[in-house]
Amino acid sequence: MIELINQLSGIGIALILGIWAFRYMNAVYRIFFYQLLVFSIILAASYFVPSVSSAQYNNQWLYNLSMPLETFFLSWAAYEYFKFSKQKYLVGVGYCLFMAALLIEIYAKGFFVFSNHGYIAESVLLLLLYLLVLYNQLTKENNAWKRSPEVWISIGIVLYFGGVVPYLSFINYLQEIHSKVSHFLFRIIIEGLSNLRYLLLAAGFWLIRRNADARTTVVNE
Amino acid sequence: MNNTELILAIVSITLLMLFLVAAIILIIFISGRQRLKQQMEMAENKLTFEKELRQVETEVSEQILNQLAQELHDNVGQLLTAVHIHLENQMIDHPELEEDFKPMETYLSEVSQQLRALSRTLNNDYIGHIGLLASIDAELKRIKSLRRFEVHWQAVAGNSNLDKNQELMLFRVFQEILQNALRHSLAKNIFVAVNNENENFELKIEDDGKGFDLENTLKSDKASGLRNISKRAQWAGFNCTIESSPGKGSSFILKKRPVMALKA
Repeated sequence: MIELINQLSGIGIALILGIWAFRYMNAVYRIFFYQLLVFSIILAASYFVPSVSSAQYNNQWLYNLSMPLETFFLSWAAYEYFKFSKQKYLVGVGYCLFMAALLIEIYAKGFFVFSNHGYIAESVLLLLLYLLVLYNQLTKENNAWKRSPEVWISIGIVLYFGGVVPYLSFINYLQEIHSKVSHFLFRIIIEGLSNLRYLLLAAGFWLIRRNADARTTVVNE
Repeated sequence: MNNTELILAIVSITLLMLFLVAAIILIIFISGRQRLKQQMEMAENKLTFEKELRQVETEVSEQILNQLAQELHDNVGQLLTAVHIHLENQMIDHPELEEDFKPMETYLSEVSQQLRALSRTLNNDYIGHIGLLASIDAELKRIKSLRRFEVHWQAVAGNSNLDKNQELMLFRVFQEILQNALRHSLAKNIFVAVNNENENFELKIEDDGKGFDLENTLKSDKASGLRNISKRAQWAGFNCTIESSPGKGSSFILKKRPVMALKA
């Protein structure tokens, strides 16, 4: 139960603030919100599937399913954000490479084994894309980076995907040899960073609403 | 490797990765700030350069206009006075030809008056002395005397709140607009209005002439005059709005840009 509450705290806050700010979101922010919705559904399913599964305790296939969706949404958001065709092209190429890595691994190990190399490919791709988003955002002419939702959302994504790579590289090995260690590391690394990522996403959504309210106040004055 | 060592190893690598990512974010942040600072410095230098260029350009053109005004007043004006005296002498010497000389004398007086008025509007000291509104008034009287079109002039009384340089530059823009109307518009009426309500200075010049296709003209190479008007107005701190369409005359609105108030 505590596990569930821990995992849902960041996502729950992000969902509430996302709904609160949805009316004021542009296309990029809405894609982040849709990704959050899809991830929430998959997360709920990851708790639900083992409880009804009479076979083995295995929900790894759900992560294999969520990976291309998560990458698709976050790449799409980056694609919408970028203005130059070279950057958009980079998103397309990156997504194709990720899909190639994922499908090869699924083909080799099977759909029911977590594709950790696919997740590493996803992490590297999204890390690069969102570092580029951060660079674009921080070199913009206006100086209001503290009030920019893109900055906080990107920092969350970059920290999450940068931090999960070492653990994910060993996840299948640890699962087989030291499953308790793997479970413990999953709690502190994946869930900890995931919470941080979604709390920063929530901060981004809060800033969207706050910026919109500030603009309305100026107009009304 | 026991469990604790394994956990420590993976957690350390993760922390290292996070540290690396944080360092990259920091580098991006610092380089972004520096790039912004450089861009701002470059923009500032460009602005200073343009300002200096504008000042030199204005000084040169004003000097040329001043010289021209002086030449008109001192040389051409003196010569016309000499011709006038000679004509009067001829009329005294030959009273039987007085009727023939009379129209010449009238024309000559007219030319002298026109020349004096022109000389004044070219002289920036004179404009600076009498002020913008009086200068516009004098210029419109001069234009009216050419009898090319009816002039409708409406101004609010009071101070224009503009400095001498702004007044001079605005007056030159005004002259250029009038010259364009004289040369190209075939207008029957010209409407000039100055509004200074709430210290928001606005000068509006309209004509009912043939007008022109503003969009196409601006795209063509014939728009140097229009671009010059707009550029000079901007230099003087004014926004210039031009409206025109074929058969519907033209309108130029020069509105003072608001000065940003600094909050204490």
